[in-house]
Amino acid sequence: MPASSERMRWLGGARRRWPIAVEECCIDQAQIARSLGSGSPGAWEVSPKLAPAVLERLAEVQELAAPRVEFVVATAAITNNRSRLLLPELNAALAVGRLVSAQLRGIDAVVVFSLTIGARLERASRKRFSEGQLLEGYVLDALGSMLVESAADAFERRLARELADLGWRMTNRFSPGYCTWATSDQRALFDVLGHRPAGVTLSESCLMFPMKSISGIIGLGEDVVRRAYPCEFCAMESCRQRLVDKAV
Amino acid sequence: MGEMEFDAPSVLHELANCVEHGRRDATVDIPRGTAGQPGASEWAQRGLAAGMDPLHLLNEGLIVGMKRIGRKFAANEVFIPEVLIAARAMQAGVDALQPALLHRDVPTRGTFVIGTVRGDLHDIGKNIVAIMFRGVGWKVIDLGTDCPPDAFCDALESNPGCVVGLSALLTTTMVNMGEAVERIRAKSSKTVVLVGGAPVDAEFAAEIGADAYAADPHEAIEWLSARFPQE
Repeated sequence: MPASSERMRWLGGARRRWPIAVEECCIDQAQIARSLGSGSPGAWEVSPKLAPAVLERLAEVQELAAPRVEFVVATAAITNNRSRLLLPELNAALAVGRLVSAQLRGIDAVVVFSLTIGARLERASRKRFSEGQLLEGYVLDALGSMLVESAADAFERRLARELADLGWRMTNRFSPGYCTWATSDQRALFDVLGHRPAGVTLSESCLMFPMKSISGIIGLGEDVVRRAYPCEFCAMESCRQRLVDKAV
Repeated sequence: MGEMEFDAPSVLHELANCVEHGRRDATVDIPRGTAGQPGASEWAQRGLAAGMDPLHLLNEGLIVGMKRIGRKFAANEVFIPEVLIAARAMQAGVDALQPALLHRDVPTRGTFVIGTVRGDLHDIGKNIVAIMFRGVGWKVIDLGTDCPPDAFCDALESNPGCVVGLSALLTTTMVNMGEAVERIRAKSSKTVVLVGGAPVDAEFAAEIGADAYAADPHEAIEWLSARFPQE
């Protein structure tokens, strides 16, 4: 089947649900060091006094996580003033802003997704905190954050495999709340996805439940380029990610 | 004091070191290779057995260690897990002192009421602030997450003279800080209100009428120490 006909099969905004095997969501040592480590520039490492607590929790995190994703693929275009992403098939628009628009240059379509690892892990973390096991609760929460990012990486890998024959390349993923895309635009994004995508709900203040969830978009196009996140434009000076990246 | 010569400054020094480096008791191997050596719990017991004042052990030993880790955290020399490990050691020391403190009037630096504002369920940052404040001698009332303005006002009523800390992690919930500050001011105009959280900054704090913005717990503690010097 020609790529263009095959693309039509993906487009149109029908909601798809994919399970994600927890085994595919690896948390590696470098990731742990970036999130939990300390040290000097260029040498982030997990303190030996913390390492046992991390190791003990790693298996627990895998057991508590239930990664899953729901998404739609729809034709998309950036508006002339480069502030909005239009999804004409779905009669929808996302106010992604100029920074994200610049990253989406050249797209034909967009994947809009909601992904979660479920609520069991955050409940376990809260329980630890309430029982006074602060370190254990914190490590669980941090590993949960790493796992949900890793699940999103696994989702992207599968997408890349499935879309490889269609001649589409993928941009990086972008979420409301990052790169000046307003958090409040979660509402528009969830409107695109429909009721409780992947079991995730949105509060009035645009907080997702379960909290270990990621919603966002990935641009698709023949000539798109996957670029790193533009940290230099972000106003959050005290961001840990920025501190770590500065050191690398 | 026991038969052997007892060096009080070195007990205080060891207590502070144990907290700073997270050495809870003799059962832990922190730093590596030190299992079996006394930790905060044992040094606190030794101090008591030698007749040292438990308040002195608390203020000049354990709290000094907590202040050191707070400074290191603010300087990005350590990260949250090390703070939590230090807090665990601090707690072990406090537990050891507890029987001696039971019938004493333990003075606190003041009462700090903290909560995440309405609509926001993030609590890790708030918890870290609460731990650090407790660690340096404040009485902490933790109201939890998703706190409506009324929750802060009720806490003001039962804790007159308290300082209030508001936390938010989202741009969509930080706006609720303004309403909370307004209600707190209406209830008690002189109450000191601090705000913090990822999207918040000094400009926003001034805009909503908060007294200060703190980027981390150490900054909050230092700001309050400067404003309310210890007698």
